[in-house]
Order: sequence, then C-alpha cells, then structure tokens
Amino acid sequence: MLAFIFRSFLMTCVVILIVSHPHSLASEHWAFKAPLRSDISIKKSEAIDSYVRSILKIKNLDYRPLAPKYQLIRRLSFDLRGFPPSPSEVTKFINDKSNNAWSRLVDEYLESPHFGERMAQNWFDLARFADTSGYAADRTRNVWPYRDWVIKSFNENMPYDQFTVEQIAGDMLPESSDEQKLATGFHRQAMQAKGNNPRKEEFRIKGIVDRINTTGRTWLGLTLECAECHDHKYDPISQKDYYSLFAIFNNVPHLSSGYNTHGPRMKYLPANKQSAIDDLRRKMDVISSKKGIFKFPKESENLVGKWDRSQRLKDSKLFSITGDLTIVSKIKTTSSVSDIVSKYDFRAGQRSFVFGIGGEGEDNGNPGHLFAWVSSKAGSWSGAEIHGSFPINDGKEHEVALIFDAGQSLHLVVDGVIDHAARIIGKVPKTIAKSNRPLSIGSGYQNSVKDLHFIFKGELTDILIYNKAFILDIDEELKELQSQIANLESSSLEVPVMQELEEPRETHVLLRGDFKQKGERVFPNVPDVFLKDKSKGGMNRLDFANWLVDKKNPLTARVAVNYMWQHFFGIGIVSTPSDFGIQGELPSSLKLLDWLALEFMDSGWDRKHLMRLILNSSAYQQVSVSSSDARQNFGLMPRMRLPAEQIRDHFLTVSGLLNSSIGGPSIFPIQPDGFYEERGQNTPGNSNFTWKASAPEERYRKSMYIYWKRMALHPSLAAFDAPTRQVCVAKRSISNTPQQALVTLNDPMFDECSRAFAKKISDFSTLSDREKIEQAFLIGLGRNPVKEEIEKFLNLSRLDGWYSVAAVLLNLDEALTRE
Amino acid sequence: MMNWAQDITRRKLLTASPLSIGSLGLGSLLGSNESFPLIGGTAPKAKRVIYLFMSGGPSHVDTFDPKPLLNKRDGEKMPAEIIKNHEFAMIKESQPLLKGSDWNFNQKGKSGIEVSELFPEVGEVIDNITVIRSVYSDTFNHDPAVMFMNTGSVRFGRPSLGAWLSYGIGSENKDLPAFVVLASGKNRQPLLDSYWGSGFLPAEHQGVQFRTKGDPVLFVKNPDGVSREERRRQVDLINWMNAKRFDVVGDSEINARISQYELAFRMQMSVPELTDLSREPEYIKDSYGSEPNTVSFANNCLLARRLAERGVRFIQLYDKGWDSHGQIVSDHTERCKSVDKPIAALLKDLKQRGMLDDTLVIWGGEFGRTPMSQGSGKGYGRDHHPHGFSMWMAGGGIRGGHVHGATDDFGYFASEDRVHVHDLNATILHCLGIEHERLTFHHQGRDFKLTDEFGKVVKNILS
Repeated sequence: MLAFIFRSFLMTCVVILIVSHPHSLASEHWAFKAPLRSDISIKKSEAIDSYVRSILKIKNLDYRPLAPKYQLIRRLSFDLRGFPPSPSEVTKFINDKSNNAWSRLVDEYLESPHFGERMAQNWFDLARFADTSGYAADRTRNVWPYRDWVIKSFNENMPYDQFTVEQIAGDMLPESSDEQKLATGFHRQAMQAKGNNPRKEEFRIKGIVDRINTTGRTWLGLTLECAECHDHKYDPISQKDYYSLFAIFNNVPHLSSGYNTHGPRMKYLPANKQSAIDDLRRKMDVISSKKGIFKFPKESENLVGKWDRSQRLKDSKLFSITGDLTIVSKIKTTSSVSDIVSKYDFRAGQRSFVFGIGGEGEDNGNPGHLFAWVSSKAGSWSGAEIHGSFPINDGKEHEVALIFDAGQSLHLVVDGVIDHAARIIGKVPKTIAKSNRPLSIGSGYQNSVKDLHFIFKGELTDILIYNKAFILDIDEELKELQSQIANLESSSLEVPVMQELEEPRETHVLLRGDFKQKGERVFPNVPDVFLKDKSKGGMNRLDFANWLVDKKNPLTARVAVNYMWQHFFGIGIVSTPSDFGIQGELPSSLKLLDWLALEFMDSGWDRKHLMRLILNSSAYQQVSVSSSDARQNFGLMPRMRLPAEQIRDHFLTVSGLLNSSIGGPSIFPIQPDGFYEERGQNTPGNSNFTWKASAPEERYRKSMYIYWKRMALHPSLAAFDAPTRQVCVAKRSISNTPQQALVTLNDPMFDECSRAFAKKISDFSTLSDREKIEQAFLIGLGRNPVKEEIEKFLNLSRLDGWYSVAAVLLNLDEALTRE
Repeated sequence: MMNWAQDITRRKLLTASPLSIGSLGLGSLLGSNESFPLIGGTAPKAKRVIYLFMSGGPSHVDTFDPKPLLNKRDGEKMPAEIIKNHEFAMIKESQPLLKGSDWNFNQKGKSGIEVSELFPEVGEVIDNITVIRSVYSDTFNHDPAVMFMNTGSVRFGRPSLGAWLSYGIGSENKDLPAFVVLASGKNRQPLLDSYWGSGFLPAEHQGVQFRTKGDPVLFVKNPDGVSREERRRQVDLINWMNAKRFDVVGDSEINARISQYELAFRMQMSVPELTDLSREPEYIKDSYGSEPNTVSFANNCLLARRLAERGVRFIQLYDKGWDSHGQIVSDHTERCKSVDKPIAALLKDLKQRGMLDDTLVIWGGEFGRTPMSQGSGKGYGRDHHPHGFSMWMAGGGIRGGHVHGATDDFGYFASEDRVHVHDLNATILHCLGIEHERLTFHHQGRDFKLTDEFGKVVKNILS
C-alpha cells in the first residue's frame, strides 16, 4: 500500500514560501493532508445545508427563498440535460404537489440519456477534446468514438475511480476490452504538430508535457507545468518530480513522420457492424472449404526465388523483375506497418516494387492492411498502388499474395481469395523499373542503402516469387460476400488510443524544459510530496492511475467534487478548481469539501449519488442572485449565462428543430462562407479540409457534436467563450460582447431557429394572438407572460409578425441565462 | 460585465483573477472608488498600434539588412563553425551554400539607410523609421514562432499582444473593439485564430476580424428580409424586457447586455460605413493602390488608417505568403510589390493627418530567412531563420532614420545590440505607456505577463 504521509519539504524555496505565505507552509498546506470528517453524527441529507448555512451565518446571511417552480425545472434541465424543459414538463412539474415532486424530477433527469451529454461537455474542456490535431496542419482525427465512450460512461454512472483508471491506462488493464482501450483516447487528445518542419522529438515531448499538465489540473488540482523548467516556485513539486511523472507518460509509441506523424491507433468498428462482418466471414469460409481455395504451386518453372524467413540479400542485380510478378508469403503478425518484400526506396529515387502491410506512412496507407506498389520509373513516381480491404494483422496465420499482371491488373490475395474490394490508385504500368536496392525480405528502405526500416515483426515464412501473373478464378458468390464485408469495413476507423512500448524509454530531466538538454536520469514516480514507497522501483501508467484513485490520495476526490460544485453553483468550493496548491484560493468551506470528498469515496465514487445530494439540498433550490453577489457570498446560487453550446441548443429546442440523437461523428452547422479559406485552413499541406454544412436533420444536432477545429473554431461558439481546447481548461470565462448579439440575431443557424419558432407560434391556428403569445412564452421561457408583456408583444406581432416575436423571446437575457 | 468601452484613462494594474473578471467585471471594478496602481509611470507616446505582420517570414538579407560579404561569397559553403549543431526546418545539407541577395540595396532618405530595391517606396519614408537588424527569436516553426511573437510563449493558450492591450487599456472608441485583425495575401501558411486569441483573458479581448469583402464583421448584416426599422423594434423590446428583468433580479450583467445590444445595433450601421473604402477620395485610394470590394493588403492599410482614426487600439494586418522555401525571387518580388506602396502610403497618410506621432507602426514577420539557399538554380528559396532578422518600427515614440543593431557578416546571428522578442514586446508596451512587468493577469496559480520573466525596453530606438 502506498503511503501518503506528507514529507517535510526541505527545498530552498521554503524561504520564499515563508516570506510570501506565512500561514501556508507547504508542510501545513491543507490540500496535501487527507480529508477529515469533522462531524460524524451529521445526517447525509442535512450535511450540505448545514455546512453551507454555517458559512453564510458568519456574514449574518441565510439562504434566499425557494425559487419558483418554473425556474427550478429550467435550472435543473439545463444543468443535467443541457436544454430547456418542454412546456408539458413544466406544467406537469408545477401541477405535481406531492412532497417528493422535486426529488423525483432530479431522479428522472439524472436518468435522462442526455445527462451523459451535458456532463461530457464539461469533461471535454478538461480533456481538451477536439476534432483536429492542432498547430498549423490542423488535421482531422477520428476522436468521436471516445466522445461516445464518455457520454456512455456518465449515463451508466461509471464509478469515478474506474472512469479515471480506464482513461489513463485502460490499455494496460489485464485482458483489456476494446472499450477500455477506447477510453485512453483521453490522453491522445494532446495536440500533435504535423508537417515537414516540426521536429518530431520536440513535439513528442510537448505532447507529454501537455499530458502532465492536463492530468495535474484534471485530477490533482495542481499546476504541475510550473516545474517543467525549474522547481515549482510555490508548490512542493521539484523539477525532478516533474520528470518522474514525465517518465510515466514517456512510453507511448510515436509513429511515422511529416504530415502523417501520429501515435498509436486502434481499429474501431461499432459492435453491430463487427458482428455482421464475422457472420459474412463464416459464410465465406463455408464456401471456400467446399470449393477449395487457390493454391500457389510450390514448384514451377516461373518460380524465381524461395525463402523460409526474413533476410537481407546482397546483390542488387538479382530479382530485378520488370514484367509479370507474383509474390506469395505466409505471415503471422500484429504489426500495423511493415514490409514483406521490398525493392523500393522512393525517397532515394530507387523505385521498383514493394509488398507489405500498412503503407510506408504515406497518406493512403491503411495500417494493418496489405499494400503494394509498382513503378515504371525509378527516379520519379509512375505506377500504381493497391491497398487491401482486410485487416491481416490479427496475429493469425494468413497466406498473402500480390499478383502483378503487367499493364493489366494488380491484385492482392488473402488466404486464396482475391481481395476485390482493394483500392487501386494510378494506372497499372506495363513494366517495373529496376532499382539498385537489393531485394529485401521482411524489411524495407527509407532513403538509405540499408534495409533497416519497416521491419516485419512476427512470423514470415514460405516466401515465393514468380515471374508470372497467376490468373485466379473469380467466384461470384465470394465476390459478393467480400464486397459486403468491404462495405462494412469501410466504416471502420483508426482511432487514437494509448499504448505502452515494450521497452520503456529512458527519461532525463530536461534542463530549462529544452528537449535537447538532458540532465539527470529519472525513473517513473509520483512527486516526493506524496511520499511513495520508492523501494519498489518504477511505477507504470496503470500504477499511476491506481494511485490517483487510491483513497489515501488527498486530492483526487476533493478536486472531483469541487468540479461538480462548480458546475451547479458556478464557483467551486475552491474557486481555483485547477489550483489547490499554495497559490490557489482556500476552500470557502473545507468541512463541506471534505465531507463531500469522503462521501464520494465511501459511496464507491458514485457521481450520481453525490449530485443527488447536492441537487436535493436547499442550497441548490434557492432563488438566484447576480453572479457577483454569489461570488462574494459563498452559498448563494448565481444566475449564470449559458455556455456556448447551451445557447445554440436552447435555440434549437425552442424552435423545435433539435435533433436529439446521441453519439456518432461530428456535425457541420452552417458556417460563414470563406471562413476557412481566408485563414488558409483549407489548403493542402495544412488542414486540407473544407467545411461543408451537414444536411438539415444532421446539422440540428446538439452543439457538443459540432466539429471542433482547434485553429478555427466555429465563430459563433467562439463568440460565447467556448474554448479552442488546445489545452485543458478548468473554468470558462464568461464575456458579454456586442458580437454575441450579432450571433444570436443574425447568424443564419440562429436565424433559422427564430424562423422555425415563429412558424410554430403562427401554426397554433386555433388560438387567439394573445393565447399564441402565452404559448410562445411558455415554450421560450417556461413561464406565463404578465399583462404588460402581452401588450408589448401583441403590438410587435401586429407591426412585424411572429418572426420578431420569436427573435425577441430567444434573445432575452432571461433566455440566455440559467437563473 | 465589460464591453469594448473602456476609456484611455483606465491605465490600471489589473491583477484581478479570472473569476472576478468573469462576473464582477472590469467595468464595475473601475466604477468603484478603489484605487489601482498605474500600469506605467511614463506618459504614453503612442495611443495605438498598427502592426504589419508578414506571415511566413520575410527575408532580412533581401530587404532591410544588406550583407556585402554574403554577396561576395555567394555559392560558397556556410562555414561549419557558425551553424554548428543547428537544425533547419527544410534544409537537409550539413553545409548549405551561402546565397547573396539578388536585389541591390540603395541608400535612402537623409539618413542614408540602405534599403533593398524590393522596397523602393518604403525607402522614401525611411527617415520616419527605425530599422532593427538584430531581432532574434527562440523557435523556427511557423505557428509557435507567430505565437511567440504575439504572446511571448510558443505554447498555445496565452493572450496575444492586442488582447493584453484590450485588457490593460481598452479601446478609445466605445463603439468599436480595441483589437481588430485584417488578413490578406496568398494562402500558404494558415492563419490561426489563436494568433489573435485572448488566451486565458476573457473572450471580449480577442481580436475581431474586419473584412473589405463580404460581411465586414461576421454576422453584422440583418438576415434577409429584416429591415433596420424592424430590428430597431426588436432591440427595443429585448431591452425593455431586460430592463424589467433587471428591476427584479438586480444583476448588472443584464445592464451590460442591454448596452451590448445597443452597441451591436449601432455597429450594424457604423461598421459597413467604416469598411466602405469607396468613401475615400480617389487620390487617397490611388496612393494606397486600393480597389474597394476586394481583398488586398492595400485595402487593409487604408482600412487600418480609418480604424486608427476612430480610436481602435491595436490593428494587426496579416499578409500571408512570405514563406519562400523556393522561388523566392518571384515570390518575394510579388509580395513586396503588393505591400511596399500601401505601407509607404499609410505612413505618409498618418503623418499628413498628424497621427504618426501617436500611432506606432510595426513591420516584420515571425522570423527571417536563412542567408543560405534552400535548393539551387533559379528556383532557389530560403529557409526559416530565427537567429537574427530585421523588423522596423515607426511613429509614436520611435526615432526616425535610425538603424539599431546588426547581424554578423553573413546575416546569420544577431550580433550587436541584440533584441529578443521579449525586448521587442517590452518596448511596444513602453511606447504605450505600460511597464511590461506590471501588466499582469493572475491565472491558475500564477501572475502571467506578455514578456514572461524577461524583456528589456530597447531605449536606443525611442525618440
């Protein structure tokens, strides 16, 4: 068991600490000591109010009165589901006079499938979740399956310790499932520079730095990044501590180069598609076993070479085949990129032919799938490439073959069956150029006379090369099944996940944070302040994840409940949610924070349980005050302007346009013409991406699904303070600008909503104008208008029609604010 | 909450946390009777900045930094001891070849400063300019280098210079943003929103892009079929309802929203008028080479002057297409041709209006380009070069007809009176009357500054 006794902090900066923070020496700092239960007899249902009231009492204050019901349901709906309640929900709640009407509503909304979406939205600010890789070449990443994972985990109320461990180290859990691997997408959200210029190692290091900063802010409430270049000025984190943490995250493969630089990926297919494929494969096996599959002859006059394992040949003149060619081999591998037979070095202008797996890191490459190239010119590209449709790196034995019929066709064969779904790019040449690279079995060349790249890992046997193109019989039934599989496979994605290198990298302190200046060697561990039993030696990523959620860790539970409090009350119990260190603010009520933290852990890290306690408190149900009043007086409920996503979702809900389906790929609402173009965001070599608005049904989905481009965020999201998610954000700023008015009044995607809402109002054809306005208020604000309001709106509707009524109702402060 | 309307007298040290900014707001902070220390002790020489940013990195040895020895040794190998341990973005050779400039330099103005024939018109106004030939930066990739120039950090997430100024001293014009961005040029390196982002400062401090084609500001036009009168009545009712709500809940945010809706309504008139360059007299348009309703650097320079006249604090013009890894002769010729005349016209126009005295004009890019060639033959180019390059400043607070610093004989390292990016930013703030150490923002446990813990004002270039 790890020990967490705070070790006295004997570093030179103690002097500074004494000078600047006389009351909070590191060794005394509250956040590094375990949470305490101050009152054992307190009732669970009364604890929150008792602690909060006692803080207000110091200022001779008490709670504000209970908020009106229409406001309460709207508050709860935005907080838990992210959109306003429907008029019938409001009416039902108002008419429910039973004692437990509120707690039943809380339960109902906690079980809403949209609960997970709203909670995920907050989590994604911490996880810096975005659709693009960041930096200049801001390219798309397939991250939405991770988004779905987070939504689902909230909806299923996954305990927070499990939620933590799976995201930090799900790949390292014993017999980890695909879902657990998918969860590690959390730390693959770090930005990655791509292109010809960025130094690969420099940006690999930046990625790790980002992972440490994010982990610190998200779980520990510590600004660890201060120790990247020097010992932390205030908190007891030395530079050595920092690089010990760094070592934990330093073992992730960093693959390929240039625009294709990437970390580990996992093939992801939604479960229903995967099982459909398995069914089709079984059908194919049955047919193949009946008909017998094609056998390449072991003896043939066209056989020009035969090997039984990987090897390097010396004589470059041998095997310079210029016409028909067949290569056959047995393979058993799990690697995603490697060469089987190579006589091809395109970087050195020595093109001839190559047969392998995954491509050599170029754009069309498909990791884990067969590929081949033939070129009729050595110096420049002139030929065809083929990319297979089956993943063959499943660790099982396969017989694979390439057949080049000069000037006619190029085929890939897997286990005796032609891959008809393979994709061919370019025209099949009549001849193959000669290369001065020797034929290489089980490896390839990359701008070097040595064939030391793309090395085949696994078993490579029975390699046969013929100067003949075998023409295989095409079975129509197999062909049909195969094209069905290819069709299903085409929706598979390579999603970023974490993976651990078999051989850990050596880690050194980087002097002044410079990736080239290595200092002392360090070993994976947590900071000394959390004194760990160092005798056991290194800690890996999974140990670290377990340490985070060890009940003796003084920070994790406190930080988590504080984020929860911040969500419901606008301000955390610690108002600096990502800094619980010596420079951070003190908790407004340490007793409350500790009680919640202990209750959270004791409940088995049950988030819904904690939320239920908070939401059923009287504190939550008070009438709201201005945010500045709430800031000055802990325990009051502030009015809060809605986050960017909820503002748009509010428009969509009220207008009736909202498509509330959950999960799946990102969507593209209308964006101003030329927005990417004038920023050069669409140019090849950069993000190479053109914004094309989704079809109406899709583009009316919730804002959390909007394609999140870090380097050019949708301007309407940005106007309402949505972060770019380049880095972890613990708390959004809230601004109030004229541009926001221009967005909600004029942006076509908002205007579309105003028009739809107007139509909805005018469609109440049996109602009088006065009643229409009453309905519009109920839909737009969840309340009835007062007489004076009715007159004003009637007047407007007579002058300008229902469109203006709709636009006004949607633009009110009351509508843009959760009160 | 604050709006764009912070007047110039609010030259305050604002160390409020994001929380207190978030809802207590600058407006209410300043409205209170509490006193705040000044950001700077000296009176500002410049009230506003026009920053001409040549995105991609212009070549210093071809523009403002003549190197006779480099010309003489054209084609020889770069001495190994100079580039020891240096990596380049694109050049792969271990000893690349020196490349002299294909352009002649001529002495210009009374000061006799040598300027390349790529900038004949700027040469004519050189007596207003201090050329700094010894700027150096820390990084050689575009986006970190632009971020570094603008935010003082190669990392994303920090506020840009314009955002710092918006936060620190606000706008002179309550109807316009403090920080406006204009873009032109040839697409090559993308422009990232973070270049003019507010980082951890509240979003109202981020740069607002104005355009001379299409919507002058995003969403400034009413939807089709909505007249100005209808909009007036909508805003009237919105504000009436909001005022009623304020009476009930007393939240000052609501009053702020009322003024923002009013301001937005006014902007819908004022912004199209402001960006309508056809209102300028022909001789002015001719002097800039401006053609209304197109996207050009010339239009942006003219618009910059109009914005400056109306009190916008920080106007940053990005011109794309300076990243000449190949074809530098044709590329730089084309880029310089499109910026030379408008820049000279802008300086003359400001001067003629008496505005150059309190407008700081800055020219430069995120780095220079290598004195060695990348590639060979006619299509040669130059690679990224952060170790020594040129920028220039003119106007408010800056000496005219002056050269500061120098690079070595090859134009490789800044060698005399070196000016680091942090020094440059400290100097810019100084011209605006701000001590760079005192413009801070407390965020996640620490006080952040534009210049981090560094930066020294370059006193020699001040008038």
